[in-house]
Amino acid sequence: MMIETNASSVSEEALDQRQALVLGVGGAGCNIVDHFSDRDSTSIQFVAIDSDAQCLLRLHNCEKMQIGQAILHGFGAGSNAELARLVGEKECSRLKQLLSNRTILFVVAGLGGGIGSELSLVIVQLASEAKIFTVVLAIQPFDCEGHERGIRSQLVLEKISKKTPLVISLPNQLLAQQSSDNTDFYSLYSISNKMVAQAVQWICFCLFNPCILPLDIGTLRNTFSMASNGEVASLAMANADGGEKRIETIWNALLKHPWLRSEKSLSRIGSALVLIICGRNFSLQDVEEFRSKFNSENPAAKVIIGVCMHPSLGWNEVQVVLITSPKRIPERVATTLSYSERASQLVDDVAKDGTEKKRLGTRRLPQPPELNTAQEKNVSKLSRSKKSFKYHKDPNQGELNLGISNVEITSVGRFDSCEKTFFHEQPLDVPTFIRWKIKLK
Amino acid sequence: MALFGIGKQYATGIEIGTSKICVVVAEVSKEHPFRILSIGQSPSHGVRKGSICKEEYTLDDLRAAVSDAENAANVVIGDVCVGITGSHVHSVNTNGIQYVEGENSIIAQEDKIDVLKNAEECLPDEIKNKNYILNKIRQPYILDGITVYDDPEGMYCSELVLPIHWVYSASKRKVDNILRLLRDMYLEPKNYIFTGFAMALAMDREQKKRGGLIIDLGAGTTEYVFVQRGYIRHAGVLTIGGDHVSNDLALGLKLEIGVAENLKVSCGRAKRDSAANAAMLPYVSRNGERKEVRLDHFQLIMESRLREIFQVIHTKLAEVNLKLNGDQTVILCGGGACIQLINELAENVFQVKAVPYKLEPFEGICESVKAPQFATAIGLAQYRAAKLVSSKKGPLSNIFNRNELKRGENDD
Repeated sequence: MMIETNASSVSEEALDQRQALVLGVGGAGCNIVDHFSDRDSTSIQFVAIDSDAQCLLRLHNCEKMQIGQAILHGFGAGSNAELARLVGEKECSRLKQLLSNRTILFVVAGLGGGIGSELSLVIVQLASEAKIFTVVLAIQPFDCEGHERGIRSQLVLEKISKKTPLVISLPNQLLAQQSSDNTDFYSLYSISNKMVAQAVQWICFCLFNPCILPLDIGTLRNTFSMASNGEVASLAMANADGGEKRIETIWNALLKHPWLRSEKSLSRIGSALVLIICGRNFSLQDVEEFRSKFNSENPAAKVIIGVCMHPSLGWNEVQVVLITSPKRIPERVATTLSYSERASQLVDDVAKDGTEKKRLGTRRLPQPPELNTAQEKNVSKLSRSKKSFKYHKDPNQGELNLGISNVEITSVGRFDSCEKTFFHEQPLDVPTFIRWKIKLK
Repeated sequence: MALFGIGKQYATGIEIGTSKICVVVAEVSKEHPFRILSIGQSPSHGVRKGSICKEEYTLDDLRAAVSDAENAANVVIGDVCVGITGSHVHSVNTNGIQYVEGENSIIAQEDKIDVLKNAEECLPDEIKNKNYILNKIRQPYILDGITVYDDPEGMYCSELVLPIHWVYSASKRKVDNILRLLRDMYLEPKNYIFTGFAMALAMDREQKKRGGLIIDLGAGTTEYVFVQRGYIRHAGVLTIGGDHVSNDLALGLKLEIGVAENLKVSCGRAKRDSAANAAMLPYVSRNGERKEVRLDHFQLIMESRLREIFQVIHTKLAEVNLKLNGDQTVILCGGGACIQLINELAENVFQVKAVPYKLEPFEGICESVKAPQFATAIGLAQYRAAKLVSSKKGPLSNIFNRNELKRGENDD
């Protein structure tokens, strides 16, 4: 049953023109979508999807779509993943219709519950089949909401991150940790909701409006498609009203942002998208200053900067949205090679084409020491005898670098020939410390 | 079942585990309701993750354990009760509903029989026909939505609900393998039940009453049983155990599997020691060389695996809406319960008190039997004894609390 309020209903032609779709899925997602203020935009459509009729009735600023009427009879799924999945499967055709003719899709959902988690998985799947660029803003629960909810949200996040290039994780708990002790619950939720709404709004604004430094969906796709192997991006926001050192103020605020998590030092990020929304007074030097700050922290990072002027901002005002994705880790790991093996590889390379060649996925190594003829013979002998190197057969103690997500573990020791044990799609026979990415230095 | 002397019967339980095979022989007579005569055991070589993979090895081990027990007890074992575990063991719940009619809606005995039949009928035919039912565990009655732990006969209600927790094996082949193996040795497997259930059965009466989560950390499998007010509410099995800990250590620290196993037993610790940061753990490799590994790595690998086992159980319980209350405890048994600080780790994960498993004191060779690793085999023998008694319904029928027996009744 589609509930459409008169205030927000639009004609079908106008709907077709709206290329961007912002979907709020589940209770949390719907609340956030209701916070969007830029409702006059002709290029963005805001839709709240939930099974709970009462929750939908509370919303006033967006279009609404009620699902699972036949199964849930207008109530929520009550954190029941099975039911929510069933609802998702039943409503596939309606969701497909909603997604048709879109270029970009934003899915805003609170993970860990029923509808938010499971339906966003279904939507992401449908969007990837229809080749729509999807940005998922996944809100993760507070610790006080329960251990199970946390685990479930993490599992769903992993599943989603494998299906779509840009997943932004927004852990509420980190927000709570940085807020002062006497901040009330309502304010925390409100801060979180407003930030997400603002971020999506600015991204859409930059995508569909003429910019000083333009940004389009192609750029987004190129920047983040590399990070699609189960990596999760972070989002940070900061603003400054003016003053001489406004860029520095913003920069410091960004570094302190609770959602920036492990990439706090910015040295670990792989790619970053910086959206600068400014008033009239913004010069090229400011952009340069921003880029130089990035370069000084992490010269290897791929940084895309989009600058856009917004009429509602003051003369000196600047707002910055930063989306970072972690560094992509090379697929093949050569850190377990002994020094002589590394040296022999380099000697081979130099012998082949006379120049030092950078191997795909290997760490850049220092120039090997000068070898005398006897040593050279030894080294080449060694390289002939060790034709292939298999990571999994010979992990070298002391040099194990297991903080690597995409090393495919193919050996599980004595359980190789046994029936495999899986729990929530995790292969439990693989050592826990490898799956938990515990580093043994 | 061999009879030696008038009125004497012998109950035998056989546990075919991943690390050891254990046979318990007990005497059931008027004077001695349940007296353990002997325990035979032998290391197990042909079992992986609770399922037999090399029959010839298992046959040899079983033969050794059985003859060991027979010699010590001086009896010939005939009928046995065998424990079943492994990845093929699953559980399901069904609810029987009976609308109480008649005068004043008082529950009569017929209602209780009808509701039980109804609950049994609810079990899908697919499970009934294609699988072996291991245990049919009755849950407390629900009278108009209120759980009643006592006998509801004579109480007022309009709707009587009886939930039943079924434990079944989804692989007939695997159970048949075990039964055939026993028959090859001229043993008659009269009963086959889930090992986790046997373990709960042999538990101390006080602990049973208090309830909690019983976890049997075995070598190949980890069984868990959730007990509430003497009722088994949920039972399950994970096919991960102590072997996985050794395997993790072997892979992570580049040790031989035998060495890893020995180190785990001698220096294993379930929680990290903050003082272990720079310390080294010396060991002797198979060819006699003295080597050492980093102690903090060793402890980190062990803790992560054990913590994960507990976390998986915690999640599985949460999935069926079961939660440990503050007054309930986690009860640990099996080989894994001997690891240092394992109770603290369990307390950390489940957020309730963890205590070691206590066996019900039995007559017979008590001292050697106190070790919790024999709990399952004793439980199996106890179950067999209960079956013997309930079939006779003679003067021996008072050896078990009747309610207790009913709660775990098996229809085989």
